[in-house]
Amino acid sequence: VRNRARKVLIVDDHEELRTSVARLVRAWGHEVAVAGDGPTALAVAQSFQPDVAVLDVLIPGITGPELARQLRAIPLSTRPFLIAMTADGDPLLQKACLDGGFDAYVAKRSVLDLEALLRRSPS
Amino acid sequence: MLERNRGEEAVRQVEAVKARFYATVHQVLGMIASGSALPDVLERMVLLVEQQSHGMRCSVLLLDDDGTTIRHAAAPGLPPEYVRMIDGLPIGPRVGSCGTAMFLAQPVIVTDMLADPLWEDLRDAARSSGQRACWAMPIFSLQGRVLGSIALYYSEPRAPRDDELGLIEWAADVAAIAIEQQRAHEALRQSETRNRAILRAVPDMMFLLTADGTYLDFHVQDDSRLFAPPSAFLGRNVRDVLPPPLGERLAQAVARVARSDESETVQYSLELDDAERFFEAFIVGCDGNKVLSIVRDVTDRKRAEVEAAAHRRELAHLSRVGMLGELTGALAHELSQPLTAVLGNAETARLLVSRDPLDLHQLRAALDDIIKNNKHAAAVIDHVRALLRNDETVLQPVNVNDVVREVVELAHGEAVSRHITITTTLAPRVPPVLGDRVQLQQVVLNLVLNACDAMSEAPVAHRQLTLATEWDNGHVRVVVSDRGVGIPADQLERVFEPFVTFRKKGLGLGLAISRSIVTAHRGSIRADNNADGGATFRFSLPRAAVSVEQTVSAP
Repeated sequence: VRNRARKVLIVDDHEELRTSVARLVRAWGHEVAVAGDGPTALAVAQSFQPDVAVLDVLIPGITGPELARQLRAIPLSTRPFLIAMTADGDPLLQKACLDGGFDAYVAKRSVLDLEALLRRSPS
Repeated sequence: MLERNRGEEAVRQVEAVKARFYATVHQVLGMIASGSALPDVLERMVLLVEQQSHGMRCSVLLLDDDGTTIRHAAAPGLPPEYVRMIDGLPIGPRVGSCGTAMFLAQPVIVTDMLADPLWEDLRDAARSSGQRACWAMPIFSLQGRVLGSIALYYSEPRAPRDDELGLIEWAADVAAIAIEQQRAHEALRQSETRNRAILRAVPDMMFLLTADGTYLDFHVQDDSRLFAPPSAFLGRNVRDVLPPPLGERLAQAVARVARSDESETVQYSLELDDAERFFEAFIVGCDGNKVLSIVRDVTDRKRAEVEAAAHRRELAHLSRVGMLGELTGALAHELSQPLTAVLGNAETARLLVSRDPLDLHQLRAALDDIIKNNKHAAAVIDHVRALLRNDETVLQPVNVNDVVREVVELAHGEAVSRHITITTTLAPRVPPVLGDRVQLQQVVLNLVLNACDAMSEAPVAHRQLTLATEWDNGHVRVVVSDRGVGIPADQLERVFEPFVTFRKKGLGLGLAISRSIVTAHRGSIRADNNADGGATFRFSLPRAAVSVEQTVSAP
């Protein structure tokens, strides 16, 4: 159960970062879907039914907590585990993410920590 | 026989008199032509006239420049006391023969000075002259102005014969020529004196050259300011005197001016006493086929301009550094994207190489992306470093679309963190402008950051920033619109002034510096409030001149 593959939705407006993280998460053995903006993320989530959503908290047009709220509002078979991805390790921002409805956070520079977070996430 | 001999003798005498007369006439005309002093010429002429009839006296008076005062000129056969009494009198309707003739501008024939009413006030003078008849003729200039008068006197009362009237008219004409010639000489002398004074006062150097560029003459205040001593350039060609590229340039300008009759200004610099000095040569056609080059030393002005430009550059640099300081967070965010991507791809590659079978396709994709990510990170750093550098202003053809794209990339993180959506509408095939790429980026970045600030209190849905480029025949424009608070109507004209600010941070120098940059690019910048809220800033730059090759290759 611990090493079971998760369905991971990755949302980031930076194409190069999205591609890299998606490739890495796949290499860890998970199933991946990606989205570059808020509306796409919601649409993909509905069809993909992710176990985990990794959301860049700074994407154009919507705030991270707002996107988290909207993801929670759509009917999904399981309540996805929400991970905020922040540009740096700013503790204030990370606290704001937890208060805003995220379950965990990871700074982009520590993207390798995602592996452990994904393993720990409920499935 | 005797009769006949006597007749021949008389003819010989008449011929001899005529010969003497013409010889003297030649002498007088020669004196006039050679520019002899006027009193000498007039006296010789008076003596010539007196020779024509025994006992006849002649005098010439001049009318002063004031148009009323009589001035003695020549009267060698009249008593000095009489001359003194006439000299300085004002002309008038009853001032003897000459004073009246000058006043009336017509001949005045007085047969008896002691009886004529015209001499009534001057009887003492008349008596002192020892003369009785006085026939005066005004001397007219070519324009018909009265220059003076000439008079013939006899010691007994009498009227003139026709030949005597002819003589006096002839003498008046000769006197007129002599006086006018002398006045022309005087005017020329005064003008030359004036020109010399002007030359002394003018700091410019002057060179007279032939159409092919050979130095003929020069004027300079101080020989030490010459590039070469006069002996090294007079009679030689400008191509041989000045350093080759400059000599050729000036020679061509001289040739063009000589051909076309239009003036030209050539700016150049020369090394004088180990220091570079700047000159401006104003080249005009002169005296037929020759050319005058008036050269001004503009070194001081040039240095002031260079200093002002350097100050502007320093200020612009400081302002850029300040702007980037505000952006550091966003720039770190921007850099964290490629760096994170590198990390992710490298870790993927590490995992892939330890697997069996080896997925070469995936491995190569990850490694290729690492290279791409790295280049992206380097590009971001290069952009930032370019803005941070304090380089010399470099004018080159710049595509404003590229400028806008690069600024949007730099400002992207800042905009996202403030929940501002940037929309760019770039005009296709935008022609290049001649400009300094970094300084133009600075202007756009300044407008973008101002727009972001203006929208900081706006509802998230309204935080829209629009960047557009436009162009027409003459100009290329960049338009930056926001939906923020706008600018108070009475401040629209002032926003570009230094220390005028509506931002919470900053000195209010950004827009002043932006304007100085745009102005230095021969462009203009303006601010307007939008009808539906927010403000629009637009700046316009002249299109770079189309080069000859481009014209030729155009369909």
